[in-house]
Amino acid sequence: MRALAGLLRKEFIAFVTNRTFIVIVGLPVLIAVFFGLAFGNERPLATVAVVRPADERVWSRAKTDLGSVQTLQMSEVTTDFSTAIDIAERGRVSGVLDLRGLTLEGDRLAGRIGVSVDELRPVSAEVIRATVAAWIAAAGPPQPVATSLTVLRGVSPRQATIPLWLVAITLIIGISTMPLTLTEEREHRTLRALLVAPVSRWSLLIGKGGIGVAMIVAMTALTLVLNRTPIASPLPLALVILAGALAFVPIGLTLGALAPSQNAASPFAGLLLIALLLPVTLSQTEAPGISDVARWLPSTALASGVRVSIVTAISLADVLPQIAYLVAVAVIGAAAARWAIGREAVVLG
Amino acid sequence: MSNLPDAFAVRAVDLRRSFGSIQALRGVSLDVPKGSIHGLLGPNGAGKTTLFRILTGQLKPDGGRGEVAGLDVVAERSELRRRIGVLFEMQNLYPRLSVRENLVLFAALYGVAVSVVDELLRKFDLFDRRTSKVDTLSNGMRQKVLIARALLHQPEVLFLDEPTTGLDPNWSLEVQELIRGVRDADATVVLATHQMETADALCDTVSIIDRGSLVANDTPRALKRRLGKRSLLVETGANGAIRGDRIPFDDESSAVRIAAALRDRTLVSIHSEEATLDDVFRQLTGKSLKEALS
Repeated sequence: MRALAGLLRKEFIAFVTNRTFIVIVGLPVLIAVFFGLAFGNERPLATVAVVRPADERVWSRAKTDLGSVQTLQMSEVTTDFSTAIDIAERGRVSGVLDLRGLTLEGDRLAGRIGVSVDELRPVSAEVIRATVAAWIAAAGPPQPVATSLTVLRGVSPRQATIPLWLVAITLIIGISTMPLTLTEEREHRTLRALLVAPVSRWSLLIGKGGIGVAMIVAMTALTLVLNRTPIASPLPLALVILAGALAFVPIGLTLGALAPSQNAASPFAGLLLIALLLPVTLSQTEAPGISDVARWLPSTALASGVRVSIVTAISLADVLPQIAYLVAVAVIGAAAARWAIGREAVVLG
Repeated sequence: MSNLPDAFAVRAVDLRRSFGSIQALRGVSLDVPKGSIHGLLGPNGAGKTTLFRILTGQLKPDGGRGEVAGLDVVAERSELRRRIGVLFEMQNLYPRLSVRENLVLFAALYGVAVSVVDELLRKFDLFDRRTSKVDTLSNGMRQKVLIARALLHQPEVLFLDEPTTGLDPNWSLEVQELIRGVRDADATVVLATHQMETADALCDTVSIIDRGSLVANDTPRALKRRLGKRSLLVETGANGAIRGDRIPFDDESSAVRIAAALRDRTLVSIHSEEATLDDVFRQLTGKSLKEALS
């Protein structure tokens, strides 16, 4: 019995002093933090562009009615129908409600509502149709409001899917591959030789990071070419991808510089990859909404910048917030990587 | 600004360094003359690698001062890197690169022309293997590549950590020859080793470090003379039986014993035996280096 207790104690100590213990403990924490925040508790909303009626009283009433509906979100309001359709066809909303045919009869709305839904978003289309039908039914008989349904075509599956792949490429190279470039140096003791050579830590980082960024850009270009993806805004897309690469490569290098070995780096890299990629995959679908916190992940910012650049003819200013955010992440990541590399040889501060 | 006299390539003054509660260096002071080979001797954990790392700018001392090639090892670390060459104990080459590619990489880091790489490859008898991947080379050949890498930029001071450890005797002799060649080209060599024979054969001066303190610093000959015990191996024979005895060289009773053997015509042979650095180490630390290592 004593021998068994001794063995159990030994195994326990070996277990908790192993770095994998941190991963095992960290896993549920990270799941709670990243994955939990990725799912919002609110009900899914279908986004619509609304073409408002000219009459202010009619619009005020319609806005009040629609604003109280829990399943629709008026993302865009315009007075021009073609603008609303254009917004929907760029994939920014799931449908269009044309309220210009509405009037007020006493205190009740009457007339016609034009409903346009995206055939590529069947879930949202059903939510929009059902919501409008319920709204009209709620007014009670006689029902003075009629609906007309039209179908539009938003973003193609290719345009919808490719952004996810581009983000995945950036993350895989940045987060999963870059750490290996440093852990391998450490395992072969070559990093120490580099650190006593007259080469700055910035140079080391730029050397390694430059290859990572170049790989990301090359793989992105190859993916776009091989998939014959139509790109609405090439320059914004190129700059968003570049900013994304600059943001994620230093994160990978920091991980590599902090991890004592390749085996230690891999689980962390994998976990971080999933944590950053999952909210992006969710943002590409409509089923569950993603929370505001998940929206602020750099991977989500990258995804939104890539998506809008691919599907919409935009100017550089339209993706400037995403680019600025990713560049800020890049600056912080680079500083962290430089600090982490400096720890390697217990070199001078 | 350097306070280093021209005669010295390396000067350590009261260097101290601790790792947590462990005092790795307890105030080491040391001068290494220019154009010499100096050995840092001591078992693993004695502090020689810590001293080595401080002098090569890899580690900041807790106290004291170090100067190498006239440069402060803390304040002028960037310039120091250009003026020294370092060979690590681990054979840290890029295994998937060829011999030449390894050297060309570091030539680029030091701003040295590629033609220098080819010159060194020829000088070190590595030219025929220049396209071989490093992981296909023998230990000895890899060590030669590492020394070539450390010499690419013609450093004023070359630091070598265990340069012959793990090499077979032939390679060890060849590496020793290369190191002498460096010294003969007016560079200074500081080598850390626990191989007393190598140090004895190679070094102009040696320091012995034990538990973080410098316990001796002189030429090997002076140390052996001062601290080692020479002996005589005396063989005497009578009636066909030969007996060998090791007796102290510097003892009056030995002279009496030899005189008696000569008088009795029983002396068969007499050989003097030099003290070794290991004897010196034992004298200074109370144990042989082999015991200290184990």
